Amino acid sequence: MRQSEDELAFDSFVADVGKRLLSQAYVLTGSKEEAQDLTQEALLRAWKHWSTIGRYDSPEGWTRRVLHNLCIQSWKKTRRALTGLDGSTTVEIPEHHGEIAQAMRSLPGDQARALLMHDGMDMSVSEVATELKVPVGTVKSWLSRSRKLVAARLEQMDPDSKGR
Amino acid sequence: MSATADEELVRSALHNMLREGEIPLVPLTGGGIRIRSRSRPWPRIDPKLVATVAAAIVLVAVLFAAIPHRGSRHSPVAAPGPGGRHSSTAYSAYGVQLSVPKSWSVRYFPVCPNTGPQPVLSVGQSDVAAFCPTYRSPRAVGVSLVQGNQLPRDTSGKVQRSRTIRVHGLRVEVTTSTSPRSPTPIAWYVPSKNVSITGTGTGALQVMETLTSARPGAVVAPGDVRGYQYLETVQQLPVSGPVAVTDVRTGTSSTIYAIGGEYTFSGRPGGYTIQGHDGNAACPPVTVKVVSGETVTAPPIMCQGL
Repeated sequence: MRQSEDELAFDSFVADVGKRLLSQAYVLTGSKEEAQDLTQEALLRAWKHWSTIGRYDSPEGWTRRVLHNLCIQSWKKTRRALTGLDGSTTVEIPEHHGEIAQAMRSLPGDQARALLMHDGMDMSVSEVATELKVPVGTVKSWLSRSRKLVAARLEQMDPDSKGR
Repeated sequence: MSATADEELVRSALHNMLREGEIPLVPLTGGGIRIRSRSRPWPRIDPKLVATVAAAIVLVAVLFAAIPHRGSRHSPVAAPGPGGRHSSTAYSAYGVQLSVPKSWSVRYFPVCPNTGPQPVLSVGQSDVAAFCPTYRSPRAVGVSLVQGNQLPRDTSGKVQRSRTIRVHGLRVEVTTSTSPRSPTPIAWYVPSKNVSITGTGTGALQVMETLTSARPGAVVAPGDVRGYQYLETVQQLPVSGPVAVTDVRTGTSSTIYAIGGEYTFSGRPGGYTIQGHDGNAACPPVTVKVVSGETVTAPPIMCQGL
């Protein structure tokens, strides 16, 4: 059976952005299984609305926003699930990048997204500001604050990282 | 550690993790996603979400019953429509108002302009409007009212073929044909209010021609609020949990939830008090003024943990 134009376009979209989205979800969740689930969910939603978003200037931007929101929503559930009876947080992410994922989780959602897009994905401050719909100054202040916090947590967990 | 060293450390950690995260556990293909979409007949429903929605409905019902109804003084004004009959409702935002037939629906901060045949008045722009398509569906019917000058521009940034008309005393710059049969959108800009109105499809021009300065009695557009809640200890930590929002004018309260320290809500224009909660920590309330048709950021709620 011949594939429709939409199907071909969507296949090429997934081939192009799938891995990029997957790695972002991994940074935000710290779990490969969860990253895979959430990326598939975001792509499912993209396919569901493909007749509209396929014509957008940036279908990747739309899907990325959905994915980041899904990841940030998942934090709440995970926190609740992993909080001990005495109220102490016992989040143990079974991956060797658990530290950075934990540090990202300690940030407000938009700040974590800004840090991931700027420092991780090398997007410019103005691109991040446009995507998050906030002024450039706000992004700069978020980046400086969140970087300090993440760096401090990374150092705390791995003192050898100093000066790396 | 210096800011540069911090940036280097964070960048290198993120790049390493992004590289490793690119390797999928199972292949990720468009075909696989499409098959999964066919094999999922029902959307996944979180039982907790259902309980939250049910609680919200009960709360709204209780609040509605508790608020005294003051007759027609606060009900939407039935304004004369394009044909002069009282079959329209007036909606105001950014200092202007438009009257739309009752068959039209109204959306505030819609994700993208309407592309369907059901007529819609859209007020304000959402956070993700930048990702909306640049094309317009020929079957779309609707009018958008947004802040700023959205008139089409040429490559040098100059507005194309602008002419000026007056609509109910307001000076309006027009860039395209105002023929009701025109398939292209009609774009208006009102310099005195800094608002743009675009219309497309049958009936859009008639709605645009009801443009006047905002009058009391029109349905005023709500505004959006975004805010953050932190616990101040040695570091500032985002706090998730319930946040009480009280309308200063009416005293009506409702509870929303901060997730990862972040919360959002929409409300009628006016003052609101926002009270956070974090166990035994004191969270002094903050106030915010909701502005019609705009998204404002509330001052941060700082719960004192020490």
